[in-house]
Amino acid sequence: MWDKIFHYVLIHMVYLAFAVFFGGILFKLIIVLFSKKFKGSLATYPRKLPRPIGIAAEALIAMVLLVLGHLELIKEFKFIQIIKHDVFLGAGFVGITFMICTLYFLFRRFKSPWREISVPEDFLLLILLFLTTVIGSHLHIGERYEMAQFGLNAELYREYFGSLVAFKPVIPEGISLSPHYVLVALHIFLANLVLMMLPFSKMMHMVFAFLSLNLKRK
Amino acid sequence: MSTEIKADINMDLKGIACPMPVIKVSQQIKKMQVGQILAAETTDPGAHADFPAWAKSTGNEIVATEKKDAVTVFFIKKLK
Amino acid sequence: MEKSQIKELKSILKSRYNRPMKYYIDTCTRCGLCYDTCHAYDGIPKKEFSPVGRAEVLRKLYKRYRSLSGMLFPYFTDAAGFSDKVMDQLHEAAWSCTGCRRCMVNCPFGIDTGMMMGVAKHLLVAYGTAPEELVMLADAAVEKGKSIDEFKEGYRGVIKDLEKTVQQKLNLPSPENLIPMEKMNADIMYVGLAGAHSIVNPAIIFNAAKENWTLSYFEGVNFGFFAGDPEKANFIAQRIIKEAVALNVKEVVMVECGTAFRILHSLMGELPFKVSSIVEVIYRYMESGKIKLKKNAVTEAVTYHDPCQLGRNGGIFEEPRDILKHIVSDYREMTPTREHNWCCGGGGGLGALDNEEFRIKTGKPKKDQIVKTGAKIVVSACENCVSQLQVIKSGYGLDIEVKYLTEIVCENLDV
Ligand code: HEM
Ligand code: SF4
Ligand code: SF4
Repeated sequence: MWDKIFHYVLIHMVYLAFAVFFGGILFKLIIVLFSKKFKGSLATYPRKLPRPIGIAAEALIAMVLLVLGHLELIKEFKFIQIIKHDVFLGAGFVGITFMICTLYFLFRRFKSPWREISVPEDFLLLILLFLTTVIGSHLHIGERYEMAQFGLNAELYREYFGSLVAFKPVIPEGISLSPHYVLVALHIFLANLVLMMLPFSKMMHMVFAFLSLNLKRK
Repeated sequence: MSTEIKADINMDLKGIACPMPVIKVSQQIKKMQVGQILAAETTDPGAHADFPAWAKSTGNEIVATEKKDAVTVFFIKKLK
Repeated sequence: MEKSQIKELKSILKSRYNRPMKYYIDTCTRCGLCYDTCHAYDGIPKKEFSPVGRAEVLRKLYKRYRSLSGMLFPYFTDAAGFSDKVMDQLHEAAWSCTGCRRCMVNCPFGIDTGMMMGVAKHLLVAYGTAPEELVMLADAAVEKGKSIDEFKEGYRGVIKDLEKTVQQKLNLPSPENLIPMEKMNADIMYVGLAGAHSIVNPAIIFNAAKENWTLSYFEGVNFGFFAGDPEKANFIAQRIIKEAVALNVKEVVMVECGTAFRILHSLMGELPFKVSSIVEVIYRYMESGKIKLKKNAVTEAVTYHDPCQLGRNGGIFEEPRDILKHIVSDYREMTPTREHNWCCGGGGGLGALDNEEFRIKTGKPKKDQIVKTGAKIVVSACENCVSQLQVIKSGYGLDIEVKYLTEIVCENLDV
């Protein structure tokens, strides 16, 4: 039974998640596009951007590196390899930075004044991101330092991701027969949840930030 | 004004900032009884439009105005 | 709460859900960077007085009625429907916000809590708990707009008296036409307030500069906007716009009143005339030599309080400072200043309410700032700010004098 569920998570749910993710963002943008504009000006003076966002900026960099890293799991991209590195890029530090960021944000919410202004969604998102990251990191570091013959290498992932992208999905036996299959499935399951939540949660700030800040400068 | 109007209550609103004159008058009117008259002294030129407009929108009546130099006294009768 | 009332409130939520509001509802990450940037929170540290704290009350309602995730998962998004309790919370949130937008400058996404509280005030108007005083003032202003012809006579009469004051000050031969009204094709139409000081001082300055100007029949301040009623707000603003268009004036100059300036300058869209503040005009006269101000005539320490709607929300920072630095020998800056200057706590219509104790408490950061400069005279360019600074002065027993910018300019005019 678990085999079936994992199969579903690794293939159908991934497609679903990406469809919801891109569809959701598109949906939100269309709603905004058809909404009533504000006739006046919302500018504040002098017209500059707000003060640096501190640790959130680091999270953003880690996020970009993460996307690049995951892209490389699909196939080799020349432009990402301009600086030579092994797949996954960053030798594990990307994941670790991301973990530190999510943990910092999470623990911050446990104390005042953030505790009072937080709603359950804030905790849920951070916990999901953290769990996804921990398992992802485990997958990466386990392989890189060959702990207990981990045996899940980039070649296998490329075979799997490549087949997903080509819409002829297969799960290589190297993954499905591995004792770590459950971790791969869990990482992908959690990541799917995150992707599906993004457009409908406060995470939309990644898209709207540019638009709302633009209003303030007009 | 030919007939002297006797006010039940006098208020001095000279020189206070916008929009306090109208607010003070309406608070005072609320405390009074129907038919009583309030005499409000003000130096605000704006009051010559604001008081009548206020009276009209609240359904009270300005029965007389009396001007001595820069000061104007409005006699306001509470109607409801 | 009755069904029909909820329906009405829901339709207001919908009608106010414009593009910026869509961003503001979805974007806030509750990062907390704005938390302590509100003077109300600084004076009374209570979640409901912090910018996010306020905005969340409204956000909950939008989540419940207008967002997919809020409808499907009310627990996770902390969505809430209309109830008397929520409306009370909304009242507390909206009627302690001055709309100064200091929080907006500190928010990484530029969320305008002041605007969100504007929507909250609109809901409260429909719910029936909007402050009576402001609703009454708005009604009076609307009435004045409808039947202005009845009041013109009386108003003109008192303006005649003021002309004499202007004549004395400038040593002119005749008081005739020193405060013109209904003058076609004037370069400037000046919009004042009810008080004499808001007309006499600017009139002195215009006459000293030999300006081709005219005085508006209306007052610049907009109680419809304060009360949160967009329809009345629009009507009240249109009175001035219509008058200016009918007289075919080139520029409308606003009295020292933050709201009056902001509404016409930023909120009414494109207008067929230029909108300036009297502060900008005085600066223009000073620079071009049309009026002469005594140099370093005031020797006491002076500081300037940036009205939020002129500075942060209007971009007028340099003009008042340059004017003061000319007149005053010991000019002192507050810290923080300019766009980070603390709001005095009198804006947003709060100054018209019976809440002096609250305003003294929330004026605490302003008081601390003033005391730190050691200034003896505090100058500002907004009716609300000046009266609130008076409240702070008497509330904390400060040894300061509060003055309008036009006042200090007229006192030091070289005639
Ligand atoms: C938004 C969601 C996601 C987050 C936050 C996330 C996070 C991470 C992190 C932090 C790592 C470790 C990187 C490192 O240590 O350098 C990782 C690795 C990995 N992720 Fe994700 N991920 C997400 C989505 C996905 C998805 C959708 C898939 C597959 C469909 C996926 C598959 C993998 C795999 C296979 C690895 C191991 C790579 C390796 O061997 O180095 N991830 N992920
Ligand atoms: S600073 Fe902006 S995003 Fe952060 S909590 Fe305040 S309103 Fe929300
Ligand atoms: S606009 Fe001003 S008063 Fe309102 S929440 Fe923001 S900082 Fe506070």
